[in-house]
Amino acid sequence: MTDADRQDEIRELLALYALQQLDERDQVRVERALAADPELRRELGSFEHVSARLAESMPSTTAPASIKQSVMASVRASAAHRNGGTLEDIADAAASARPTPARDRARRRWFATPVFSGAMAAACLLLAVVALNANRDLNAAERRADRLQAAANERGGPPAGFEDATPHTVSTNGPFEQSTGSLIQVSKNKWILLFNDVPNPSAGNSWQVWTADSNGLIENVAQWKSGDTQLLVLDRADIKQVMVSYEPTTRPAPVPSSEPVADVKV
Amino acid sequence: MQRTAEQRAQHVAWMRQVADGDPDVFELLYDEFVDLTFSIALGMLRDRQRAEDATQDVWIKVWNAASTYDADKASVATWITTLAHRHMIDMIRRANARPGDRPGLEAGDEVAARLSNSDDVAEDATNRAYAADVREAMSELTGDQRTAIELAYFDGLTQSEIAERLQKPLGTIKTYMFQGMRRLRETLGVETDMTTGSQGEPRA
Repeated sequence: MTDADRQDEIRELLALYALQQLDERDQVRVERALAADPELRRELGSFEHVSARLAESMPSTTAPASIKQSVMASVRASAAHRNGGTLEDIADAAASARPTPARDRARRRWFATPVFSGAMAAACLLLAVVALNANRDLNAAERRADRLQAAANERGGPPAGFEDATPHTVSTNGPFEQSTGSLIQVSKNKWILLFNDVPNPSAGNSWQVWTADSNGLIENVAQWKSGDTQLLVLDRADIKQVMVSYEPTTRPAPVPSSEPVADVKV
Repeated sequence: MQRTAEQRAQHVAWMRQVADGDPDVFELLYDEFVDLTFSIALGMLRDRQRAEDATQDVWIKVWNAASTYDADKASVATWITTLAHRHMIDMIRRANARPGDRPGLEAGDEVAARLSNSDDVAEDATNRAYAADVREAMSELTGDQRTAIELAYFDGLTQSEIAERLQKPLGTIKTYMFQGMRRLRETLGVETDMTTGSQGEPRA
């Protein structure tokens, strides 16, 4: 096969790439070619635009307000944390989300429970552990967390299932040695993984997050192509282990190809 | 949805501020595009609760990945749509590979169950309510090209599943999709050279 033939074949694969239709081998081939050829990247952009037009042409459905409340609570807490805010700042930022409309209160989303401030306090307990690891200020962090929890209890106590929502501290090593991470189960089917001081991966590589369930099934759940603070919501009931490994930035491989730099067992 | 150059430039400016960690600007971006992402989620997953959860996850991804956005490669609308679509495909295929997530389903049943569930979405693969320009572009495709693209894009089927469903060889399905996508690109007026300031939007 000549170079021109290979180039034509890659061009054909681009359309299938935009439709999420390539197997792992072809994905790697395409991504290598994309990394080396700006013309191919432009061509892929045109196919991705076509697929975006298909999606945009579908009838629009208004998103429920409860999604925004949940997303903004997470984002504001994350932003306050990134900016080095105090736990009170983070709690205020997270609690600034508007009250949940009554019709959405039956949802199982944890931020949408009637005792929203209790959930925020639980999240702050997680952040307290992160801050605690960073600052080594055990007593102060504990006092703050206790104050927040006491305030939440005065307003009705933590939501069901939060009473034992103890954050799991993530073990880190190698390039993640300076990072601090925690994993917390916030509802039966939802977990939050939060890291701070994540180093930037080098070009062409990423931090990849993996979960293992009680059957030992490993699944790639996220790629982080940047450092700093990382917040990940995991929709899983069955999580026994979460790991982070350093991988080339391609589509997810079936299993990590290197030893984990961060690891937590539940 | 056609957007003006001013709107597209505004979106790019917002993305830069979001990448810098500004939650107030993130809220503007969210308000602009959340209905689009929820519509994609509902259209593909056909389950309101799962669509709400998936939309929430997509926007956390937007917040976390904003710094990876490259305005030279795609418009913000295309970037968010692509991110949302990939997330839905992952959810569909993960559910299909792990039937335990849906009690009582065997492997492979997830696709069939989702395809037969029309509580939230009335359209099926042969009767979608496209916008006028996309409907016209889709009408330029052969029936097989259109069906292959719809099953791949909206229903998240793999090439093998489409081949089985249409009872055609795998290579033929690939050809349908490639030729169909090229035809759509041409009919919709999407250019491959995105260095002229359009940022991936079609020519007016």
